[in-house]
Amino acid sequence: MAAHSLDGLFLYAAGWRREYVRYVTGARLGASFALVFLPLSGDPVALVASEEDRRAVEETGWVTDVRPLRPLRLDLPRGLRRVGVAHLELMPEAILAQIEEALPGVELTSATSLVDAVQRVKSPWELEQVRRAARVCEAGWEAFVRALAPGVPEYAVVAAVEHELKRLGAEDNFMLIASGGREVMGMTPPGERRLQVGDLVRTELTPQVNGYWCQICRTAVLGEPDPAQRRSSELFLEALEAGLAAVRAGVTADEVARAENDVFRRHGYGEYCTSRYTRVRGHGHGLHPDETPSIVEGDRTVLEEGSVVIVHPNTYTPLAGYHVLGDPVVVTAGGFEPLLATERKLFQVAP
Amino acid sequence: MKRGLVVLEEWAPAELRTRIETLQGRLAEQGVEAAAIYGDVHRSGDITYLTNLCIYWNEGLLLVPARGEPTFVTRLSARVHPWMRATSIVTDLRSGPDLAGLVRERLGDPGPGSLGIVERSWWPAPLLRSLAAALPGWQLRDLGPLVRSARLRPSPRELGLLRESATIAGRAWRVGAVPGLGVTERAARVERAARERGVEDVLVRASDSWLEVTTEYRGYWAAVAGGLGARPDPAPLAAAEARLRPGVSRRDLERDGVSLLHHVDLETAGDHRPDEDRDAPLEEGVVVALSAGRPGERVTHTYLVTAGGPERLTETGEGA
Repeated sequence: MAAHSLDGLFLYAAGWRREYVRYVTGARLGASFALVFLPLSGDPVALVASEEDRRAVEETGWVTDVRPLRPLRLDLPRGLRRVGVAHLELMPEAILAQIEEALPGVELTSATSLVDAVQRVKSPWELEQVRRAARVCEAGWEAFVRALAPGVPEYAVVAAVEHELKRLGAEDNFMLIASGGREVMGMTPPGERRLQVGDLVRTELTPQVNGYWCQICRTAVLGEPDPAQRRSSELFLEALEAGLAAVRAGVTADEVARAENDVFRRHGYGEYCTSRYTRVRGHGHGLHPDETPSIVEGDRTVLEEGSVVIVHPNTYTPLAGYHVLGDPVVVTAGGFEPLLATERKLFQVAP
Repeated sequence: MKRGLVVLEEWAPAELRTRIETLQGRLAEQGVEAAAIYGDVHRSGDITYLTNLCIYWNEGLLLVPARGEPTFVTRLSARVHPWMRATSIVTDLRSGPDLAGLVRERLGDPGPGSLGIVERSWWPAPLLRSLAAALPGWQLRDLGPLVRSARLRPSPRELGLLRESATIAGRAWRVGAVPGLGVTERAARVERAARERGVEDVLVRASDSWLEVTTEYRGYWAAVAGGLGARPDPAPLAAAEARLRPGVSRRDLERDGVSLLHHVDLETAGDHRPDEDRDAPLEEGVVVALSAGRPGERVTHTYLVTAGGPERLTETGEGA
């Protein structure tokens, strides 16, 4: 904050982006809005929208001054000139108007990228939470494979995975799925489609454990893989391993993405690394499932020791349609610490 | 999180088009060229009601012109457009990081006009400012909870979906309320039971002695909660249930220590309710959830309000 000439900082939590407030309070919140005000010096104040959230913040005890969000009553230090707002981009007009009224004449500026940068490097305690989430990830994938059988609808596969993740204590899960053949161009929420012998069944599943998310991307085949599916699996494994080999503290997200994409280019599939077919070649993890940096060519963010990223060269190719394979890792000085023990392969399920 | 079954029922397109046309009629009355409705993965009920779109991640805007087809602009990748076309009635989908720019592109250059903003208070303020900058000379007029108001009283088809959502919630509650289960196993069983019945979303809160289940089925929400012993309903809930008739207001029931949520507000537990909702008399045919008790212990059921009294839609058997 001092380096950015900020006299204070508001951390805003929207219903789907609570990571900054959780970072400071440690609390699992449920309401659609919450705020924390962090002065340049002194204790933070949490502003919550429900009785349940007040109790959640008080139970963790990281922030002891807990007040209602509406009406906003802050005893702010005098002389504030410039205050940052993390997730200003998502803040409703109704809440921003209250802040502006409470801080007349104070310049409010977005501090989203500032807080993103602070949260990228995880503490040892945070890394332990991510490792716990990784164990749940592995179990979730095993449950996914167990659920695959001809005739089972996609949504029932998701139900089986959710059961296992929740049984193991996951708070939430972000998950996409796609089943079928070469026509599959990407993953979505599940539909009613029933699995068939010969299908590739792809998923990314992302349980949240004690606030921290961890993702796994894998593909399974129902029955014997055909030669194109085998070839696709080999291509994605080569790309994933190339990306992982590039990971170490000091390299850029661009370098990791380029290492993955070069494999596709070398094999004549370079056009499938573009935004027409894929979004990113990986991304950060933590209190949000899709943290910065985005691992894409052109992103010059330097990977720092202690940050967590997933490397996933997921994309469509005409070989076997959309294919996913990805592993999350902790970035270390000399390389990376793998978070998953799950094999990197095309899983085969006997019909 | 919305990761359950998303499907466009065969009957839905005709009814959804009627909803769009009804909204368009209101826009014409109010003299606005189009309405813009904001939604994200946390709250997208209005957009789902009009189109069956599921914003399973990120955020977007539904633009409904006073005449013509609606457009959805989103920060989700264009790669999801085929799936969105298959599961909604929207055919004009546009993706990009600059939502305001996409709106300007859609409106073309008809000259300054009036754009209706549905529930402006809850829109991200920077997005409103971007829209104002992208549409110089245009008036951004707050339309308030225009879509929410239309959703309060369900059609017969919607009531059928609400009944199914409530049935699933009650069954899932019973599956999770088995004595002796640990908290995580309880939550796990509820998740599976609800998702196997095709819910789009299920919210579960559980303790050793209490369970709350909130389900979203085809965009329609129901809630049930209660203690796990064979306890009778608390007196305030029974009293409120007896008073739950057309004409009573939320404030009337709150005096008895009971909270009331319309089904359309269950998605965000009432966080976005308009202030005037508190004194508005309930209409016949609305579906509401009543809760009594403290957080972590409360008893909740979902009801259809009729002239003859409430019909409880959630059944838990012994216990709640």
